[in-house]
Amino acid sequence: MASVNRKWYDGMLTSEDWWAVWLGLIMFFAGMLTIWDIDLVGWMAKTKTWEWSRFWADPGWDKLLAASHGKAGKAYEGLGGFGALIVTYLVFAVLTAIGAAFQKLDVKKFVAGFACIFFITWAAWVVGHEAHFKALKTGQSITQSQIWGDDLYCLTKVHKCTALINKTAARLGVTDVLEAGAQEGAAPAAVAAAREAAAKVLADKKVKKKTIRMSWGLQLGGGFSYMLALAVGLIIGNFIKGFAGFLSEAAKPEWFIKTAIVYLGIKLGLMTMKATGFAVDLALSGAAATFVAYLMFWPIVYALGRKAFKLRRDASAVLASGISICGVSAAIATAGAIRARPLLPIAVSMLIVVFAMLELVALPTFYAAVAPHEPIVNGAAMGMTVKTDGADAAAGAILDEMMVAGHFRSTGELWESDWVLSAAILTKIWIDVFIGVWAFVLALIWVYKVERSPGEARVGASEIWFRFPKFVLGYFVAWFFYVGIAVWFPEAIKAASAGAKVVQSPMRKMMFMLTFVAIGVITDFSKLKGMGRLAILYAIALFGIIAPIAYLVAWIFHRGLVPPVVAGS
Amino acid sequence: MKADLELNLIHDGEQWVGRHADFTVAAPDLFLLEEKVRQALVGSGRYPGGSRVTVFMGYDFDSFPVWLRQYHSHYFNRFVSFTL
Repeated sequence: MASVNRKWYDGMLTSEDWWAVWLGLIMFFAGMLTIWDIDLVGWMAKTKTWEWSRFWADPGWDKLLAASHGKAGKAYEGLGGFGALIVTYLVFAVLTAIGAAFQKLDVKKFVAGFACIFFITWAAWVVGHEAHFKALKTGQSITQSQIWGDDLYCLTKVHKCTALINKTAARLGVTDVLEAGAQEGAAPAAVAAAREAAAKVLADKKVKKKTIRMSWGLQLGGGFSYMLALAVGLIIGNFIKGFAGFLSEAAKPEWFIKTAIVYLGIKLGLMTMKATGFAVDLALSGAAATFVAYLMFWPIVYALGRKAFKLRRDASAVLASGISICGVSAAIATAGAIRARPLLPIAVSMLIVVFAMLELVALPTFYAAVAPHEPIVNGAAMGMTVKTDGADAAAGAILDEMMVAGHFRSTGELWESDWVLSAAILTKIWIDVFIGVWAFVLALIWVYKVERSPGEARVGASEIWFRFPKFVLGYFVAWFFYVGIAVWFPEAIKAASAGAKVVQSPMRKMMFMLTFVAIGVITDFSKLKGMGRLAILYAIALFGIIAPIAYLVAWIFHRGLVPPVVAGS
Repeated sequence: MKADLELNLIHDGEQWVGRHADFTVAAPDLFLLEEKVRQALVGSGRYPGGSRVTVFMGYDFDSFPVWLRQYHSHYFNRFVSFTL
């Protein structure tokens, strides 16, 4: 059966892009039913932070995992951690298998591969949540280590844990003693009294459950799970190629990340309500960055390809789009616009996918190290530099975790998470949206000026729609729907949030984790062999021209912008 | 845009190939392919001489490798008009 886009609705049931919308919106609307006290998503498994010695003393799945239900879904509590994991697998295995069937994938191979990727993902996720890798020190351990010690870590969200300690201190009536002992130049007796008070607080049952003393901790936050998932995927993709081949039918990082981005639309809706100006600013500056990307990057790289590397017009155009705009989508769209032989975008796409992986591995650490106080600049620069949606979102997620954890470690101040990620994604989304317009303009130039076909060829405006990234529709639906509820039905927001929280947090993070494993599985660095001139041009253009200019543009539009601080941190 | 007939287009690595229920044409570039389409239409006898025929050529994306389809799902469509 052929796959030709003719009618506007073509591809709605058969393309991966649309299936990101369906998978995204199915869960989004399922989550919304909590407005009417119906919890259809509370079965979703989520990871817990655990510490190995406590686990081995009393092993159990419930130490590692739990169901995500809110008040409406109390019934799911009976599932336990393991039950929630199995239900999560079954739900997503069925939904993705249906999507795979419509996308004309080999369903048997897909189901088998998805099962492996799913459980590898969760294994990496659980290991990554071990406290020595993940846990952050409490605020008290950072700012008042002389009283609390500098080895006190949180087994839950750091701002909640820090707040719990403060609340417990107030309940025990020892806040003043603690503050007196924490003063600079406090008398030894005051410090000793404060330490005794701290010990009383830490002996409280609730505090004891949520904190732990450890001799060492990497304090990587949730980012370690992502890095571990990526490493496992890369090991499979590069060293266990037979297994990678087996998984390939189900290794669909673009599908997973686009679905995750639809779920992220909910988070952006929540964030927009809390910080409207900031969210609007991010959206607008993303648009400005797109303008720069198209107008500056493309001609520079095109000229480099033609003049310095003596490439043909069509090769230069396809490579320019792939490097300077949006990776594989742009390369295919451009090649299609100029009616190039398909072998050209296929070859360029292989290059893009491998280099996107190199960027994913290197850039988050590089940006976080070089500019630890410019989180939004770093996120936006990432959006303009990393060339596939999957790698960009993945890199944004790692960068977000690294920068939030790093800032907390050095200052004790906790930034709200996901703003850095949103900066990376919003910039990329604007670029994705305009690929269709760009390809349409190129097609007009090529057909009417360059080609001048004797058969009077014409370019239909429907080409813009066919190239439009459909997952963006799901993202905006989720975003505006949630904002709409907050604006027009504010009394329903609390109930809506219960279900939305499950979709935008553990469900979204799971799709990110699946993306990390899948992207590693499909990236084979040996594909760069034999790419010769193209690979060198790509490397020079990307790291020598695009990355620095992108950073400068991001800095111009976003310098000094930092995420809101979590209340109580 | 309306078309009088539709052609399924692919590239087999060497040539562009246009397929219709009644004929198949192949050529190393799109100009030559269009000329062959025009000749096929004339040869079919379905259209009187001098008539203007619009052909829709839609690229079959299933011919792209499976791993690439997740990134994009459209190559190009083309409307070509001939006076036979």
